[in-house]
Amino acid sequence: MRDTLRVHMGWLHSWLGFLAGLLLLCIFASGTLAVFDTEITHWMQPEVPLHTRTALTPAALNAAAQAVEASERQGFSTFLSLPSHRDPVLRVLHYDGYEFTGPALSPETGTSFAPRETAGGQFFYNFHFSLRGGDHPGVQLVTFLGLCLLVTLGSGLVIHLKALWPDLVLLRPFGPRPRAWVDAHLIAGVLFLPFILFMAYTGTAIHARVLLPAQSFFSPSPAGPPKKSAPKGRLLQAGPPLPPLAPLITQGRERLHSPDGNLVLFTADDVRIFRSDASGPFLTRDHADFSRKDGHFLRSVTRSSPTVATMQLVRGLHYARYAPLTLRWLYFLSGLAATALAGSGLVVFLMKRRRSSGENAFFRLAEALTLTVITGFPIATLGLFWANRCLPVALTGRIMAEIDLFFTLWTLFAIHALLLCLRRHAAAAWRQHLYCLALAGGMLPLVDLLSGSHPWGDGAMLFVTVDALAFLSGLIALFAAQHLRRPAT
Amino acid sequence: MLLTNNIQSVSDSLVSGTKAAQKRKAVLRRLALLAGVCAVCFLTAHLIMLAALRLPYEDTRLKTDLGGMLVAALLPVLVLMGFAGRRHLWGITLCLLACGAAALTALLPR
Repeated sequence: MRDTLRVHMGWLHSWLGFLAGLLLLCIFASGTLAVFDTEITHWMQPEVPLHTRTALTPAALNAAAQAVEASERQGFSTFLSLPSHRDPVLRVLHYDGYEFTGPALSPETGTSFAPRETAGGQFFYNFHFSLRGGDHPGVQLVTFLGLCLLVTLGSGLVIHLKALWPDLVLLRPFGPRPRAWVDAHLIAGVLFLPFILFMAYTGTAIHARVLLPAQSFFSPSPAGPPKKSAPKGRLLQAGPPLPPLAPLITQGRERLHSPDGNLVLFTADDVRIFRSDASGPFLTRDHADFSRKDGHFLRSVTRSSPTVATMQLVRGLHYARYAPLTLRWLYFLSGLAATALAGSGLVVFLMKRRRSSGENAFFRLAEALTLTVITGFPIATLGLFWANRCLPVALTGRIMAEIDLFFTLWTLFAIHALLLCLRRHAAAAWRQHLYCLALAGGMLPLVDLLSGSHPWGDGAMLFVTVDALAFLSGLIALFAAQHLRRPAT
Repeated sequence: MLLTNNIQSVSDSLVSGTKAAQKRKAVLRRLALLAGVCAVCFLTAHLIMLAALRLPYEDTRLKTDLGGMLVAALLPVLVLMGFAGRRHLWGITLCLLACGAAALTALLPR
């Protein structure tokens, strides 16, 4: 066979796509869920009522200030998230090394809703950009995979450039299995190419400095005296008592033209009120600073040079915090398409090599890994939702218990896949995983109902939507499992 | 007849052996090319990040962010071109040229 450009690029596309795709699928899936991170946190904290949509009162802010001071005395760097249309409660948050956690207060009275501790939607957000591995190696690995994704997309474009239009319209879901999977891969890739390319580029650009630090590998800069700084999310020392926050927030909002959803950060000297991320597609970090001692206005920091604005736009469009609900659903659907693209790519890779490889040990390992990400990851995700409803509400260390359960489930299903695939029972492994997924998804609404945490008044729609999506994923898994029972044509 | 059959099977196995060897050789050549291209491209990206530090902005983070944007756009394109251009190795030559340009920008005094 002639080693043409298409063959050459096809080789790169297949191998790089498969190796990177195993983790990219999980990154796509968690990113898709992270679009609705706040809503998932609401589902996971049913104690917080969602009908609260009142103006912020001084009493609530005083209660929040007391909570901040108490948290600072414990050494946490704490901040406030003011109520917004999307999250209508006052949150006192600190960073625990992975997620932002803390109590939710009523914006009217300042009383704590005492919600259950939960990993919430923040877990998926953190997993999306770091695989819960921190900056090193988590973010580095994800950024590297982003570069691999861009190369894979480029090589895919070269292969299919001639047939982009037919690929866009040709779908034969009931054709022979390999044909149907290739069609699904192509249609997801071509139809959502602008979105996937854009998200891959912006995601990689945002964290590129972590992968390639601007420090010479050849002549490292001489180490200066060690800088005294607190670990991320911790304080070296607590500041003086806080001034009344209500007038500061009113003033800050006026200066920043940002009426709700602001963040309020506290240093030893300042109180910083930030513009809301939902204000627009530019993710600015504009803030108004006030003295922590007496509350007088210090400065207003707004940066809007074209260079800064470009970076703000790149971040804003990737994070989509500005997006209204309809646009958020579009992000979600496009994310699902990207996940389907990665999943179908993995399946096509295996199908093409099943016969030629003679199902050797490497092929079986590849199939087990594919199973682990295509079915194992969604099962573990649904397991996290189950854990949220089934673990005791007052359990200490509940957040870690949920997360441990997620990873334990994922590991168990990986082991199961490995055992069955290595013993040449891959078809049985696919079916069993899909039935488990169907069970986990299909039964989640029932568990939610039986747990008695489901509100029927305001905010019920959110619970119904999450339950319905879980049920739908269960149905799809059941359909796929039934389809696998039939012999391939 | 038996001798003819034996000769046929030996020649078949030789042909398939040669084909497998050719395929292995082609894969090894591709891997070597990819490794070389990636090494040059990562060096280029690193040099671009160093060059970004010379941008006339006060904020170091802004400089590295801009460098990151450039790297995210350029590195995949360079890898693809380096891997695609096999005739007279023009792909890797292009990568080396880009690397040289980045080195001059990053290391020469302003």
